[in-house]
Amino acid sequence: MRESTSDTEKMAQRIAAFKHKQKQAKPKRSDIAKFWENAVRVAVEFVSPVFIGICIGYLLDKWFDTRIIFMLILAIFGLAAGMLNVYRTAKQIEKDIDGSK
Amino acid sequence: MENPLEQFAIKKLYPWQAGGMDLSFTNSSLCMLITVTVIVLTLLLALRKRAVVPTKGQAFAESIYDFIRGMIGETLGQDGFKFVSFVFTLFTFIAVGNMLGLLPYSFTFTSHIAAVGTLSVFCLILNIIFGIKHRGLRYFHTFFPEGLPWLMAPLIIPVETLSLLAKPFSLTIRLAVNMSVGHIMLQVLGTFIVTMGLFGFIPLVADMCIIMFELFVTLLQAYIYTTLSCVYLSQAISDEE
Repeated sequence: MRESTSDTEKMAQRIAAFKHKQKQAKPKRSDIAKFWENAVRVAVEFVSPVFIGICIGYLLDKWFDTRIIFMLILAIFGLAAGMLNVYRTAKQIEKDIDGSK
Repeated sequence: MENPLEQFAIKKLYPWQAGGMDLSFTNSSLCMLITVTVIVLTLLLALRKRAVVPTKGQAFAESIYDFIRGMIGETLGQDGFKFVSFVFTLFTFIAVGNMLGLLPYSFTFTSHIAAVGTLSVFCLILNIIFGIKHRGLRYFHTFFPEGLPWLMAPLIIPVETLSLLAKPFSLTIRLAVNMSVGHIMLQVLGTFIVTMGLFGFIPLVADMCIIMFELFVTLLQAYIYTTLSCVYLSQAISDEE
């Protein structure tokens, strides 16, 4: 009975040591991969609202039978939304970097 | 040379028209059905013996679950654990769909904007529902942050609306373009293997390298899609402006 208790203790110690080792050996993603991931993310976040604005503008122009008024207005709003998205994404990335330090 | 875009063509397997809509069962639907079947069968098989000391299969299933739980913990915090089943389904569906698309004669439904877009719009609708459920009417401050003068409303509301609508678009484009480009490259290099005759081994080696890279990309893209969905969900349910 005593033997089995010491075995359990040994096993618990080994598990604790393994967990500690695993924590320390946590692989860090390469900075270059992270840089590209963030760069692509920022670019897509900037372009998406512009594209959505142009699409909605095109549909509204078609609906109201106007020329490119809605497309132009919504493209400008899309540009502003894109800049806002870039600012928010950059803030999020900065927060992530600060959190991982 | 065969058109590398032909691999993305939707073929109707069982044409079906209902209420003026085309609801045909296509090769894309078949691949989605196969993906779901593979996931369900694998998990059922892996978890048939629920032991305290897990078998290899159980450990595999549990490691995916732990991975998703960790991802949610990082982005959504403790409150987000109720979304584990949703995010787990999202991740496995995209990852397995991407991987099955690499098999010869299969079809990559994740390379289609229509398929991924529908999934992203579904995520956006869920974000809005959970946002309203968590924050009540305060959710609408997303479109017009508190403290701003009302004169700014005609400027801020369209900008914030476009910013919200762009989220599913950016999710969709990222995944669909990545999957399409990889498959086009594989097809183009595959054609060179035959046409270059004796020197065909050069594109063959390149194709092998790209397949290995694509295997990595399939998982990476599924991870990015799921992480960003979690980030958007956390933005919807948190009170931070």
